[in-house]
Amino acid sequence: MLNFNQFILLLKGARLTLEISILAMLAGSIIGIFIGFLRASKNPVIRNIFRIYVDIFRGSPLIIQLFIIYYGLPIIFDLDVSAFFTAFIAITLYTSGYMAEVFKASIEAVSITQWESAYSLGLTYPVIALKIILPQALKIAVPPSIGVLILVIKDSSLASVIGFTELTRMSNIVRAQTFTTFDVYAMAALLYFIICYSISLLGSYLEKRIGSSELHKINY
Amino acid sequence: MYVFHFNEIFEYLDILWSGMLVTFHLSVLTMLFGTILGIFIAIARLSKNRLVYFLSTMYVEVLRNVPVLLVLYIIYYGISSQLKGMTISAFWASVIALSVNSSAYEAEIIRGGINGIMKEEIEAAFSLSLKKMQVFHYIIIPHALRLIWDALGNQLVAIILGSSIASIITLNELTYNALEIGSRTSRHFETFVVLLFIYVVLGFILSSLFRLIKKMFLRPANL
Repeated sequence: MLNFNQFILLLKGARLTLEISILAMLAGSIIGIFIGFLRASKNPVIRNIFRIYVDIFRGSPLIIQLFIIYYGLPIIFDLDVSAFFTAFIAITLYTSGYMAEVFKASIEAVSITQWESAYSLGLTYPVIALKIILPQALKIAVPPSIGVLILVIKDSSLASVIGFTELTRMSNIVRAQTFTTFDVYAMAALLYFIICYSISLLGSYLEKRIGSSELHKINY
Repeated sequence: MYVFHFNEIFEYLDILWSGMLVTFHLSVLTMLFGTILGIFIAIARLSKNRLVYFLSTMYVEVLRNVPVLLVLYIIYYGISSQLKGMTISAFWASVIALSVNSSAYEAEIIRGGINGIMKEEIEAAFSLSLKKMQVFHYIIIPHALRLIWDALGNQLVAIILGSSIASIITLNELTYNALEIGSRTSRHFETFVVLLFIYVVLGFILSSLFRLIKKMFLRPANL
């Protein structure tokens, strides 16, 4: 069995898992909003260029993206950075691919008449996008974003391979100390479950509160 | 300034190819077992028996909220540490972990498809005096398949991408072999860029295949 100190170590790992997931989620959402608007653009060239971006980050394993950033940052930008930063960059880019699709769908779900009436009032594109469309799209984007957050928390476990000590790598460390393989991994799995399941419960609560009137429009 | 050398990697195409075969083998077995298991779990999730419903729901919720990497660790390291003398190969541990993980997602997709069929439709079929098997064969399956086809395709692409984590337990599939090439040539970055495109292309081929089959064989849902 695990003793108290080892349990505390796992909790520390869980905290780092949460930290990196939430940071990557925030940064990924900001990139995702920009790309979402470009993906929802009427210009087919712009739409398709950013479709490639989305297809690359959603269509390849996160572990490969982690390795590319891990080996790429030092040689391309001549940067010597921590495992945390490397994992943060890779997971952010990965998340931005998913969030771009969430925001694209949410932006398209906002009624076209909102754009038309704003244009007829003489407002410019950036003002319409940020002040009129975005607030409405953000509300629609909440439930699918919860799904992406859960995905990111689970996939952040892959950051253990490049040496970032989050929950999965921490459980490897505790396992090496104690030789209690099954207990450690089962406890780590339980911690992941508690985190992700509570977030998904929160998600279904929010989904009910926001109401199906907005959500039936979304084709995500 | 770093100079990129991609040509060195192409000297090791045979290693990439043998890794690709293992990835292919692993993915196909996972798709097969994951889908079969998923169908059973989906049926269990629709059961009126409370125990069956509870157990299958727990199965789905646990597996959807735990990283597949930990499932893999538990199967590969955990089970052999609990049961003395029982060892499992990296390949089969990966097949089991990925299948179990995928089955939870597929169960939800399939359940959604069955729920998506309207009650009236089935009642109408029965009122035309079709037998139970006929209703299943002519009404439920074609319609449900059409409803779930896209989601199922995405899930199967996710299996190919997910199979890359088997490299962590040193199964010599595509990602692991790429690491090998990286350490032989010291060109890790270039190797992984090539690998990224291989995975994107593999996923693209499979999803195109799914679209093609949909176009050719699946009747449009006229709802």
